[in-house]
Amino acid sequence: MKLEFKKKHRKPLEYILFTVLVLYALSMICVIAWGFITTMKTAVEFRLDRLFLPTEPTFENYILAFSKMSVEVSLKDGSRALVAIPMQILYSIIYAGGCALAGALACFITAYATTRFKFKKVNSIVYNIILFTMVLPIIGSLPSQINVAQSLGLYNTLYGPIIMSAHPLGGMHYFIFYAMFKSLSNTYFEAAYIDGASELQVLVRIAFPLVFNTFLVIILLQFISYWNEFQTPMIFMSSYPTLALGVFNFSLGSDTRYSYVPMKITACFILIVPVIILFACFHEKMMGNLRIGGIKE
Amino acid sequence: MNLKNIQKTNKLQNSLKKNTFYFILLLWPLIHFLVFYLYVNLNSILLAFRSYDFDKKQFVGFGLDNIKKAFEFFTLPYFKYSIKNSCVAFGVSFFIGTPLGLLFAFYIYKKMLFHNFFKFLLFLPSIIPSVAMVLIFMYFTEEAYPDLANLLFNTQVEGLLQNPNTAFATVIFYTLWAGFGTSVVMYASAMSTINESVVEAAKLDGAGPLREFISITFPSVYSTFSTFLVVSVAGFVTNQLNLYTFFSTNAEPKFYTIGYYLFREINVSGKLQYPYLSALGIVLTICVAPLTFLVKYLVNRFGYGED
Repeated sequence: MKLEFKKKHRKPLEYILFTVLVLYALSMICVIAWGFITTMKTAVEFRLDRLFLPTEPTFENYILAFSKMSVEVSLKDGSRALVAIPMQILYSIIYAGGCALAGALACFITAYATTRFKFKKVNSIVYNIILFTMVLPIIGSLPSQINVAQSLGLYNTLYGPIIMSAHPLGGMHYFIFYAMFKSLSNTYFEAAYIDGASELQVLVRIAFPLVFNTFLVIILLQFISYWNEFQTPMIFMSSYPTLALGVFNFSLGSDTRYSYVPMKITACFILIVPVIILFACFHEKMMGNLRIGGIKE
Repeated sequence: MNLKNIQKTNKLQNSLKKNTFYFILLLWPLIHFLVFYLYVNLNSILLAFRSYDFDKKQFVGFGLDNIKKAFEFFTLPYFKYSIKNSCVAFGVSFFIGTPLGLLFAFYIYKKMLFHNFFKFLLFLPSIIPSVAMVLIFMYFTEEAYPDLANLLFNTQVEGLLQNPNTAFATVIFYTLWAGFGTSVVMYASAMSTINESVVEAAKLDGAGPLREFISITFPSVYSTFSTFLVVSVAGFVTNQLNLYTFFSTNAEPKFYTIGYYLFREINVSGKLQYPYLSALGIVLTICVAPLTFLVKYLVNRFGYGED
């Protein structure tokens, strides 16, 4: 018996796209790999050789960064304090986790209300307001936001940004939940009502588990987004610097003992590691489509 | 009769409970909208007509000075640089970034060679904190690039961001290079919903990948494309191009975008400039909002429909 190996016939478009993607991949890998090998160099070694692998790789930059990468902040009483990396990580977890959870909950509850209750006019108004705020560009409202946050006692607090992010406006997540609830069969809910469940029980024990996967993905994406940003913490919670803000401030630092390039890139990698771990654990959910369980007909 | 009355009462009570629960669910979103959207924007309009009194430490007065100053902004070199830079950034993103993003998504959707690896790599800059990605890229262009150029081409060059002739192009390149992420994944997800029988029929008719992309794939993801386009136009003015991360408050004025200028002024000048920045924001919103709605109308009117 003669075995025939069929060669897959590839079109020119595939070759062109493959070439472009390979060049893109090489550029991305080169930059990140260069950054990583730089973190293993001392300041002296980096001055002598900025390109290649270190002759004596060391992780002392990571150890130094954990102890020295502090941010000087002004406290509410006017005094100054140094905030070290462990506290920056704690503030980042509270900020990112709090904002992600608050935002996802707000979207979930609003979408549930506007899909499961038959108040057509009110639901339509809510839907269109959220759509409108997504499309309408409001420029230059940051001064007013700061002013309002100061008036309400939310400025320069850990809970302020969390409260301010607990809304369904301006993003796609409300619409994702909306589409999910619209696609759910009423059978799930009718069965619960027949069994005597209250509205709260239906929300918590029926609706929430059905969209839990989506909820988790949205929280993950939002957590990463809030973990990564530094401008909002810089403006609204400057006394509670997050790790991203710490890295940014550290990059501007002038302390010659620690402001050399390998140390600054080390700070970047310390910031990157938690999100890479999250991504490694949940990348299929974050990059893929989600499906929900079915009803026995 | 009693039974009917009891049933009627029960129905009313259930209806009341349901209505109460509905309004409780919407109470927080309503309060939030009223305070943090409506009131903030109304306050922004009010701020535009006031000024900051350092002695009283509050916003006082009522006048048109800030509005006049906001219109004067359009005559400043800052504005000319900003609008030019914002247009260049949008143009590069729309005419280069969007087609490339669509083609990369098509590559992933067709499961071509190493598609999973490329999907991961394209998504990676969306996961890595932008401050870290920008800084690593910045140090690479400033520290590694001159040594690379010397090694490969035996030429002495400045860092790409230090050289004023290449600095802005480098920032634009970075925005394109690190900007595929979420859009590629969303386009690929939208493409995965295309009915396979339509694709098979096209192949039987002799359609190649390019014809398939133009006639089947792109029309099928048009709604996703149009959403991204409208959101890009809405963010045209507020886009900072990561300039604050690259240069902090020290970017050259000729590199400014309007988004960077606004954010920089808040950090540098503080409360003194809040009224002026609010006025400028209102004037810019009045200019950009109609453009956004026009683009939305045009993409819906002249683009591909749901069928």
